[in-house]
Amino acid sequence: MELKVNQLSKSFGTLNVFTQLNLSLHSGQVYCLMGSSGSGKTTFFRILLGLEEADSGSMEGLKGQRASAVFQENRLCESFTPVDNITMVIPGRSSRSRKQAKEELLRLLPEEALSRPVSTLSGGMKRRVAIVRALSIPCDMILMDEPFTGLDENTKRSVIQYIKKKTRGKLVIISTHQEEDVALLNGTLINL
Amino acid sequence: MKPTALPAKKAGIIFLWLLAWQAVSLSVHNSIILVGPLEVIRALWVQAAMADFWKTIALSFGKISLGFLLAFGSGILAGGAAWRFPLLKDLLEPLISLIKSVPVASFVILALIWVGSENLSVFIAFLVVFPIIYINTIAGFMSTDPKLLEMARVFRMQGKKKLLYIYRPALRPYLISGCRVALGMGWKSGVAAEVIGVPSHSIGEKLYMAKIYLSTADLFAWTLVIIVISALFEKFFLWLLSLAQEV
Repeated sequence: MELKVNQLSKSFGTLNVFTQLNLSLHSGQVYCLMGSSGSGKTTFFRILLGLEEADSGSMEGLKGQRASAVFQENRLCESFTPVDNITMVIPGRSSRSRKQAKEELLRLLPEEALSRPVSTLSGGMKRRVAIVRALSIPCDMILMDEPFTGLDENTKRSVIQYIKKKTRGKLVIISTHQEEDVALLNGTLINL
Repeated sequence: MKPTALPAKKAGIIFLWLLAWQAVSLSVHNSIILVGPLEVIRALWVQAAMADFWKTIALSFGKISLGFLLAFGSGILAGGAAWRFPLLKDLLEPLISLIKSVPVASFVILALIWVGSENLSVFIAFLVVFPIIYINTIAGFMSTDPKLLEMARVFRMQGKKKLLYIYRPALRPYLISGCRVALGMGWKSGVAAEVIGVPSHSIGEKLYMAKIYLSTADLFAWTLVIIVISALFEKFFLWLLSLAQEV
C-alpha cells in the first residue's frame, strides 16, 4: 500500500497540534515518528485509525486497508488472560485462535504468565501482550505508539526482532523518543 | 486478630443478643407482645413437622423467584436495548419512574384485580425488581471503558466477543449490586403482597393467620424462614452470576 498524507492539519481549540503535514509512506517500510511530547504523534495515529478527524487536508490509500495498533496505553482487558486478550481480536473460531495466540505469546512471554489475569502482570509484560495482539491480526498497516515503554534493553531488542519478523511487507509507523530505535528497526525517521 | 477469631467473635455477639432477647421476653412475660428465641424455635419445629410447611415455602419461593428471574432477564434485555437506542430509553423513562414511585401497596391492590391473588407475588416481585435491574444494566453499559471500545473498533472485534470480553466485565459489578438490592426488595414486597392477597399455601397467608390468631411465635418463625430463604437464594444467585463471569 501507499499512503499519502496531504496538507493535514489538526488543532484542539487554540492549540495547533500540527499544520499542513505532508507524508508519503510505503508498504515494507518502517517509519519512526519522533517529536517532543505534544507534537501530535498520538493524534496523527488516531486520525489514521479513524478515531479522530483532521481539521483539513486529506489522506490517500487508506480505503479498504486494515489497520492494527499498539496504543499509548495498553488497552487490555485486565480481568482476562493474555491468551484471551489475543483470542478476542482474532476473527473466527476461538479454539484455533487460542492455539495461535499461545504460540505467538510464547515468543515474548514466559509460559506461566499466559494463564494469569493481565491485571497481575508487570508493566513490561502487559506491553508485550499489547504488541503481540497488534501483530496477531491480518492487516496492511501497523501503528505503534511508543511500544517500548516499560521494556528493559534486552527485552526491547527481542521485541524489535519479533516486530521486524512479523511486519515484513507491511506499512509500519512507530512513534518513539529514542533515536537509537530508528537504527535498531532499520527505519526511516520522520520528525513531527 | 487471627482469622479464626472473627467468626467466634461474631457468634459471641449474636449469642449475646439472643440472650438479651430471651431476657426481655421473659421480663415482658406476654407471648402476644413478645416471644423469646426459644419459643420461636419451638414454633418453627412444630411447623417444620407438617408437610404444609414445606409446600408453603416451595410455593412462595417458586412464585417470588419466578418474578425475580423474569425481571432479571427482561431488565437486562430492556436495559441493553435502552442503552443502545436512546429513544427507547426516553420512551421507557416515565414508565420506570412511575413503577419506582407508586407505592407497592397500590400495585398490590391493582394486581389483585388484574391477575388475582394466586400469581400476585410473581407480578409484584417482577415489578419491584425490574426497574432496579433495568437501571443498573444501563449504568453498567455506560461505565464501559471508552478506550477499550476504541480498541475493539480498531481491531474490528466481533459483536459477540465485544459483549463477552468488554461489556460483560463492565456490567458485572452493577448487576451484582443491583441483584443484592433487588433480591431483598423482591422478597419483602412479594411476601407483603401475599399478606394482602392471602393466596392459599403462601408464606403471606401464614403471616396473616399469625396476625388473626395473635400468634407472635408463628409470626417470628415465618419471618425467620423468609430471612433464611432470601439469604440462601441471594447467595446461590450471586454464585451463579460469578460462574457466568468465568465462562
